[in-house]
Amino acid sequence: MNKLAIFTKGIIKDNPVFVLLLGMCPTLGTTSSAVNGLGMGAATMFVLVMSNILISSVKNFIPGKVRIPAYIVVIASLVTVLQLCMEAFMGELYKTLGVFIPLIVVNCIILGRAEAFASKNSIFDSALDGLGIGIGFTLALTALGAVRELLGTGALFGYSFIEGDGILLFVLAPGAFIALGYLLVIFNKLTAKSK
Amino acid sequence: MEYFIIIIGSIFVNNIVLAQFLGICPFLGVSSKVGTSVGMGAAVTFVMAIASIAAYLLQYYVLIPLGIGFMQTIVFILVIAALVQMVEIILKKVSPPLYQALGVFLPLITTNCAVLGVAILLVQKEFNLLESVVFSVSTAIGFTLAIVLFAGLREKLELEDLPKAMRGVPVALVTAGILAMAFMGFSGLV
Amino acid sequence: MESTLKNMILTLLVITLISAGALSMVYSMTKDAIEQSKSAKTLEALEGVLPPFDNNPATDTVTVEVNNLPIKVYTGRSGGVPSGYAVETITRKGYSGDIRMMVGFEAGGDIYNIEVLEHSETPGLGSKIADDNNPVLVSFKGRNPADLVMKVTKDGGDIDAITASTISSRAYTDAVERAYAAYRTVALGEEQAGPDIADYLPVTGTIPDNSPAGEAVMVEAGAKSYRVYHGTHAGELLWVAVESVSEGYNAPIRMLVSFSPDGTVLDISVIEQMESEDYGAVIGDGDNPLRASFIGRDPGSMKLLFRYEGGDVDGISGSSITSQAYVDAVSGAYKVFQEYMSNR
Repeated sequence: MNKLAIFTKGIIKDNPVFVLLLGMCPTLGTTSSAVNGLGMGAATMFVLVMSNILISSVKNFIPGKVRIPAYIVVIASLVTVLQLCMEAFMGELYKTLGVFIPLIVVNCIILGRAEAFASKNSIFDSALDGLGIGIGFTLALTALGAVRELLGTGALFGYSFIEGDGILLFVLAPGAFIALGYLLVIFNKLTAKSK
Repeated sequence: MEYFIIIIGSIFVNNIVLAQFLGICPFLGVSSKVGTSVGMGAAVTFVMAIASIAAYLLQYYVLIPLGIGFMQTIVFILVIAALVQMVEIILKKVSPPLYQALGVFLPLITTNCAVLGVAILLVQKEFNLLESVVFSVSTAIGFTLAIVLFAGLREKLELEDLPKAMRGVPVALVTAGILAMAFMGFSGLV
Repeated sequence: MESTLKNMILTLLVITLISAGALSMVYSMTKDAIEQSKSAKTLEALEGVLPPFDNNPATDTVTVEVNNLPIKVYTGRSGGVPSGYAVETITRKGYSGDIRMMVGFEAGGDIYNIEVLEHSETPGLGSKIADDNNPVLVSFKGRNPADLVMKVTKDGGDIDAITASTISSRAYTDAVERAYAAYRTVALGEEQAGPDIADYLPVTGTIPDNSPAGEAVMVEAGAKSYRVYHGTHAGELLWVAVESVSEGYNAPIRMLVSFSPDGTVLDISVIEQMESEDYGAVIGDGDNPLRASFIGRDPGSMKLLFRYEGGDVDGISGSSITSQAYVDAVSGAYKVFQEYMSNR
């Protein structure tokens, strides 16, 4: 597989949210606005790229039977580093994203990429893969956040377009499910046509 | 009264799936039949109750005395993973019928963010041991309630003629949205 | 690598050790920054709700208990005189979870500003309590809670609720009410201490050369904080006076109990009481039997029970609750006195 394909496949063809349907908890839980979606996506991307690089570089030293616990330790450490840094330098965002930051540990995308890609490929390829999937995840979260924010409050990235309130439902819990459901329908339609 | 509020709050008002978005993967993945979703709910309840006790003891008797609160995430996830393994082995030996019923779901639970989520939340909310257990069990009951209701809806949906792009997960999500809306009626209850 | 037991254990051990090492390194690097960002946030909130000050209110704090919830009160001073008080208050009545707020009072009790520190109210509805110039905030700003009926208009009060968010608005009002109670405990105590308290301070042969009324300190004892005054002459301690509050028959009784440095009671004055006339109210008289039982004696060497119980205290007949409150106040003050002396 050429380098470009490794990088781009995660963005549309194997998009972790719209195609693989992974990482649903943060996708639904942190996308009440576009900025929050972007922040969560970026945080996940950081862990994903770093864990792919680290796991790919130590893959030859890890006995097969304990590889999963070893990966979990690596991922959990990275998440803790992220947690500490965010608390120190991005307090507001850290507070908004709340419990979903430590829960990056159990995001199936990360362990999934470690197992399916990083444990078999070179460091550089793994980094590219992580970056691609990370961007795909971030785009999906930002898109969902943007849709919810726009419909729910009439604003986008905090800039208001419409006077008054939007359809509040979309900022609330049910709106997350419904917005993602219909985004998936649109995504399915578009990709079905291009096939 | 305090306990009553915790119970009602975590089953209905702050339902872990429909209001807090934790445990969505099994919620979408293992909810096509009512029977399997009951099994999943039972397994989650079992593991969550044990995990909450373990998390409480670790937090207050290991992490805080040693001053390594920042290791919380890594310690909790390892302990939960080990716990699930242990529960699996013990169940296999002690109660084969129960293992038959719950066994298949156990490996799935390690990556169920609801379990780790509850462990972190009970520390954040500064519950005592009994409150933690009450909180985790009622959260798990809330999870079971949501997943079983949802499975019932999906069994009916199977029979509907839907547009192709809508089939499967998209319609499931929209249904979950409507279910979440129904649960919103509980908010403000406590 | 091969999956032998030795290999497996060794690998996991090495990975865990490296992780733990790396984490504690990151932790020690970010620790200060985390602390700083937390205290910066507090200071920012304080600047938002307090009238201009020149001290560091973040370190000038008292914690008081209101309805079993510990409430922190920050004092802003300019030129040493309190310019305002910021109360970090909380309510458990939010629509979804607790609401934490910082309520700023001017020295006189008018609300200067209010900031919501933490809430999880419904976005777009209850979350408006955190907005600038929302109707609830506007109903409070610049007004003294003493002049307001602290309820939303729907419940017959003076506070405008946010449309469709009555529960959040009620919770907000509840938090302000709690803040006001804390403000009264701290600020009014201090203010009244200035002019009034001098009348109650003990008079001995030697006139203090310090200013006892102005040099009160707060002493913590049994999770409550007490105001303690002292008189000195040429550096030598003359007396210590403790302001003590106890539950009376009708309302709290506020007393000032003065001790000689050796622990004997010099004087006991009742500053505030609402006991029943001709019964409990007698404790305000200078020659009541309760006061007489204590004067000139060391409460530590007394049996703090009433005569009929075999103790050393003469109660006021027909007012056992008031008498008990009086004894509680004196014994509480004595504990504070001991605490004060041991730290001196």
